[in-house]
Amino acid sequence: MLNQKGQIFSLDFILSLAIIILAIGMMLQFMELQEYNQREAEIQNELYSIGETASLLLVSNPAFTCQMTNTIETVDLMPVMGCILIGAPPSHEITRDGLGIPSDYSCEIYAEGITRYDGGAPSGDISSNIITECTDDFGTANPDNYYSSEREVVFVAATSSENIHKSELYHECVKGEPPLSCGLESGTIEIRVWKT
Amino acid sequence: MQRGQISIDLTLTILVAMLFLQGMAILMTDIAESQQNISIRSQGRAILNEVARLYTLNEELSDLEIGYTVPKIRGIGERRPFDCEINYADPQLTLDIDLDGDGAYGVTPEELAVAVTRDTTPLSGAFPINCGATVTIG
Repeated sequence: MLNQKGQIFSLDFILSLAIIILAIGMMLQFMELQEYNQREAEIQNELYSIGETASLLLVSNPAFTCQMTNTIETVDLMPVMGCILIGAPPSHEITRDGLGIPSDYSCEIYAEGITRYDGGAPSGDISSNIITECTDDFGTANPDNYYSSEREVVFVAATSSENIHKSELYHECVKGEPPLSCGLESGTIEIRVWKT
Repeated sequence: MQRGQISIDLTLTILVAMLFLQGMAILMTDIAESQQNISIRSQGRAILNEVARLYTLNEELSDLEIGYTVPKIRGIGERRPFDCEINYADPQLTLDIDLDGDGAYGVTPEELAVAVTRDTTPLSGAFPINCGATVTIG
């Protein structure tokens, strides 16, 4: 083959060119994959950041958690983290702004009462009693990526009062003294957040 | 072999090699630029996520005071970090970067390509915030 004109140049060149093009193609594909992964990670990180903040604010924002008061209910002592009002008045509505959820995200809250401290029957699914703007339908949206977080909380029925009295909490809920009318119920609250 | 054959082969080879190298150089520049943009945008997004989170917590939990140093953005192979600035116009946080070091943020097409935004709930605070600055939120 060596004595034929142009044979070495053409064959060698074409072969090496093909290998180089193949290598470049693989490198480009790898770069594209890396860029795609990076973008996915950015979306995931933003979702996680928003979801985590919402989950934290759900149980700690004084705008919709319980207030502990003194016995005669004239002084607010402190907001009670992890204490959620059920059937709360509109002033205590769990808003999207209060949870830090931007308008391009959707959210849903699911709540379940598990144990009543006064010995009554647990109330089960109480999602409809939670007054909130987070009422998007997770089932219908069926998003690929979503943030979900479940926390153990205490629910207080806000029908008569939106506060916990310090003395009632201590005597009736903690010590179990009569009249046992501890209005607390332990349960879980779950928030789901996804990009609309 | 005819006279001049080697010369023609050599000329053609050099020409093709030069074209190939030129193409490779352009490709490598594009890849490097793309990687640089990805890296800068990724750092920018991480900063905006953190700023949005802290300002949202401060907005809702009134008794909170947070000290936060905004990280600087570093490019791949760059010795000095880029200056950048965070602005807020309801409902969006924007991070603009000064890539060319002229003191102006988010002006050139390259700077606009790496600028990032993040929607938030209403926030209050003193904006703009420069990268590298320590802010007290609360």
